[in-house]
Amino acid sequence: MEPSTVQEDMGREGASAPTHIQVRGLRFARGARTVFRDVQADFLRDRINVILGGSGAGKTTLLRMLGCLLRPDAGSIVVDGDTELTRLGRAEIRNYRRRVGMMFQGGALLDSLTIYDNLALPLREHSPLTEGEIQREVDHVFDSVGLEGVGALLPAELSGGMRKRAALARALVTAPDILLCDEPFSGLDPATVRLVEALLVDVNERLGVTMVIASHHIPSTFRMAQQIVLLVDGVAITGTAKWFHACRDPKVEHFFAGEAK
Amino acid sequence: MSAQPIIQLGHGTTRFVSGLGEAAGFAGQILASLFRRPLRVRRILDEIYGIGVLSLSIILLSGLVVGLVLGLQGYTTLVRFGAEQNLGAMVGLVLIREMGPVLTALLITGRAGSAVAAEIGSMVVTEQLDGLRMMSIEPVDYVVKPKVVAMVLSMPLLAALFTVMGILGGWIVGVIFVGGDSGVYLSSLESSVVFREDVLGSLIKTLVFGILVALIATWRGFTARPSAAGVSAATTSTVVSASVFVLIFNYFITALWRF
Repeated sequence: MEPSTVQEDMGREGASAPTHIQVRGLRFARGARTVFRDVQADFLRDRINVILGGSGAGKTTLLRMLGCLLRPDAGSIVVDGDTELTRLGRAEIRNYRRRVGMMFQGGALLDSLTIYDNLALPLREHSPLTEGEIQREVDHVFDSVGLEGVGALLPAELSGGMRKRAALARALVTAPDILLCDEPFSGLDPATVRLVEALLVDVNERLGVTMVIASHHIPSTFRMAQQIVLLVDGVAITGTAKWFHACRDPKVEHFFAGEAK
Repeated sequence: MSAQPIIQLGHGTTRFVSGLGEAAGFAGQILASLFRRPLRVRRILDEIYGIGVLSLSIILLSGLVVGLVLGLQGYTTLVRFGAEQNLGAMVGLVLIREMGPVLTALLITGRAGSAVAAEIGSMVVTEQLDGLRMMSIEPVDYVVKPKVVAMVLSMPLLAALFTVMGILGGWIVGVIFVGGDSGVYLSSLESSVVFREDVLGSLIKTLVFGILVALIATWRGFTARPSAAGVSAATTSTVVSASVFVLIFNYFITALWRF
């Protein structure tokens, strides 16, 4: 089955943007298993970049490397043309992460804090804002992700969709340049997938943040992605939704046929 | 002859030495975080409540029961030699020098050490520690430091309460059950306890035990494999290794302090 038969539309074009994150010659092995042989990819500034791939292809691994949570065995990851992530020291990594927000698959919200305190935490830690100003910032982010009346609740008291939105809100509260999202649609029903998808597109359009989303959800990827990075056999194939639709590469066709099944 | 056992021994030794190095690095990070702002006083107070205050009932009850047993055993032994007037000294010295610090450390290992390892381990599983890292907040600073400080501060206080309750237990047996004189019990206790030798030695033990249990519990939690079985293994290994280390260190501190 070709990609076109799986998708509902051909995504949002707009690939003509400068490179924000450049990945070159990435190699990584976990024990005896090679995850990346030679990954080359460019993630575009202010665009929605989606990393696709089968289970174990290394989507989350690549995302964690972009967040400096994991170091590759070899290769380079250059942000803004001058920040080489694989060579950063501890303090430089902390500074880099202030420009990055990450939405984890399970939310990774601190379960001992309320949702409000989860969002306020990075502002209390790193900004000179007063408690009143922090409250205004947090309320503003709650509004932008469509969350109301949940500030006093604990993460365990939220539904799956609400937890995803709360995780997105926490990732956005520091106004990052780069937003990394790990499987934002996993475990959600189709209606909530649409909701979270629309939210991500809305956030991208309003805030102009560079998004890198690791996902295995092909329909939403083809609707929202402005660039797709497909990980297969330890390498990356990059293109737009239209390009993948027309692509006759056996690896690509095999991946989409398998996912459709 | 197969070389497999030798290879395995080599791997095991390498893993052990490398683990020691990593644990030492972790302890160094905690030490450095103690001098870094913010001090996180509020979080330390919350942890003191969780580790110290919530352990009070078990410590007070255990101390009382241990004191009652010491009183009974001590009285039946001393009375054979006509030395029952020394019951207060015997109960007090045993509790202050050995049983107070050691039993408190073992009880706190079981109640709070295991909870600390499980809590941090579950934060590893649910990526909460990575979430903190992505907010440029060091988990050692935000999660580990308050727990370690709380454990080290709580241990001597809890051991002191355990000891006081034990002495009370001995007094109940010696005065109420067997009809001894309260003044004799207390004066024998007062005249036999030496501050430097007994109380200070006990205080040092409890501080060392507090550091040991806190380090082992936080390290095991921090390095837990990200699975339910990993958290369970971290919890079990915290209780086992912290208990064994407390007993071993107890011997060495006693030996060094006495000689």
